Amino acid sequence: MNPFGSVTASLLVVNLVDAWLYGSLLAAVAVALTLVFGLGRVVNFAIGAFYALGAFIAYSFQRTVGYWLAVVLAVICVTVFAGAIERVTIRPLRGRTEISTLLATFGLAILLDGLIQVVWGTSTRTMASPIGGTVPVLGQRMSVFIFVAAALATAVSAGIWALLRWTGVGTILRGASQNASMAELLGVNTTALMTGLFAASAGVAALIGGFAGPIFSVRPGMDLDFLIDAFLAVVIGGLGSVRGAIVGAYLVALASNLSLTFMTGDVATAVSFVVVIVILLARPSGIFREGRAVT
Amino acid sequence: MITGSGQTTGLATRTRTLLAPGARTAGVASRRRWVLPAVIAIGIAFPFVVSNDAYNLQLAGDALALGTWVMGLDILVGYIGLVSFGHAAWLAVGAYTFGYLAQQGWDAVPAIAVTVVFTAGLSWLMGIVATRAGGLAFAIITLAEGVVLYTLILHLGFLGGGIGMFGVPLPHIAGFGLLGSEQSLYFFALVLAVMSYVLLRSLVASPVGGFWRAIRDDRVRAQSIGIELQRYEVLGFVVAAVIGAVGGIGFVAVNAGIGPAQFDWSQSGLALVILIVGGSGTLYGALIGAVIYVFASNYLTSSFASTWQVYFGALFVALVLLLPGGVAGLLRLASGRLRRRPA
Repeated sequence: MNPFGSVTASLLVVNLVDAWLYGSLLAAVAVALTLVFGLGRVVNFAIGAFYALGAFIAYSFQRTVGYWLAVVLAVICVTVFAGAIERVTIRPLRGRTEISTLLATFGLAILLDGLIQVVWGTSTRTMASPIGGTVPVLGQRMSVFIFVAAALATAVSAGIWALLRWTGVGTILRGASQNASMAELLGVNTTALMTGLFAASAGVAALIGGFAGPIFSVRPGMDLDFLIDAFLAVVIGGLGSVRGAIVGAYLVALASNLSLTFMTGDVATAVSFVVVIVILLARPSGIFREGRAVT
Repeated sequence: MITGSGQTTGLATRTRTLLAPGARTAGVASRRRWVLPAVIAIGIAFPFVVSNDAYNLQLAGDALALGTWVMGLDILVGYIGLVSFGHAAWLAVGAYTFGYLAQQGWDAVPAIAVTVVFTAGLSWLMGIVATRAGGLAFAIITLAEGVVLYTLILHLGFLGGGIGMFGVPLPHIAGFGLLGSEQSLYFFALVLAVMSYVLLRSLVASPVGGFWRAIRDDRVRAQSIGIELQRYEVLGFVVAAVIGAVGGIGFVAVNAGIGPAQFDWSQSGLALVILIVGGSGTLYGALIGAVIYVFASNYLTSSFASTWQVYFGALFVALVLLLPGGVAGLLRLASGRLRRRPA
């Protein structure tokens, strides 16, 4: 009669660990999204496709060069590719409305998702875990790689944070996000900066996709699920706030994993969306309403 | 003094030109007057001139229903400047409500009325939530709302659950008996599309339409001249939803059912694609886009099955970059050229 009867403490803990892992992966991509939005008001709907592309390229190279090198190659390929895409599709839209770039990146998402299906087909692939072995968690066994991937993803977010805080590039980026025309006057080439930032953010997404490959399955459609969660994270946290994106990512991961503990698949998704809607009703501009400043 | 008064007159004239909406849009309005007769004429002529076989009539009915549905979205995207990623939900709400009532043996006219009222109520609640924060937050909340509605419908057993709703009986209309043939279903969809277009056209031309465009062009300025943003955004949201649901009514009637694949979140993306291809901010662009989509996807997917999505995405990006007005923009450009050329 206890509604939590089937949910044991250990299952709950495993789900919490999963939430921490998923939150760490989401956070890095949410931060990347936030930076691109902050600098150029570009809402990048293609980031999910870059994430999926990273996973697929890593999958393809894994057998020949090994997992870690495959992930590095995936990041390089996606970064260069995304830089070229920005040059051709996003840069010409400067000065047009936010909706134009939103629609353009949305079209890119459709295009890249189709491209993935043409190249890799529609079947689901599984990647072997690069690090074997398991850790006992309250009687359940969890793969060591999960903890390694979560730690690495956290390091990526921390690295971006440190880059923004303590380096010259970070200062330029923060300044240009606050006032692009002033930055231009001071000699910053914001157009080139945008191309670089867009490419780098796609690279981060590809890296996270590479980490996600062995944990979740590699399949077409993985881009959309991840994209939606990343955007929910950014919106909950407050647009333009790096801190908010990180907090939002963990909240989204917690909401979806906790609801998965008690409910089945699609109901859990719906419930986590209701949680998000409730948060936004309470705080329409997100948890950290910092306006345009990237902090 | 003379120069002074001259300057004043000049300023007054300039101000008048700036403020008088008729001055700049007269040409557009006179061109748009041809749209309604053109839509009706082409719509009525299609079964008699182009094709009268059941399959093509069903495709055409589909195009009209989807066009109506996307016309609703145009209010949000083209007139208020809000991008919704959950418009498929309204196709579903309209289709399921009307389909369920038809299954209970309702007449089409009261069934449509109840569907409209129900959709308006539901979308009013969801609109209040979605418009609390503009821009990207609106896009994400509408997406989330669409997913919640999708899941809810799939878990309501009396609506058919995950299999979808099938065997929706032919609607009957008081005095006209049952709508039997594919031809009468096609005309049912045509009547819904034309009525929706007329309603939206007059709404857009009314002061409310002016407020919508003011919000689209500059939110801050619109607010500062006293337009209550959320009030008119919610109103636009309700209008978009109701017209979307009317499209759903046409869809469920023409196809005698609806399945989950017709209203999942990729369909909300499809609504945007249709709108951009046809041309947003014109209303009739939605119909053009829907006709292109339905016939192109039907005849091209068989020959380009695997690469279809790549071409579609590329075309979409190219349109946003090179032809933001869509096909409607192209038509307007062409008619403008013809007009300017001296006879």
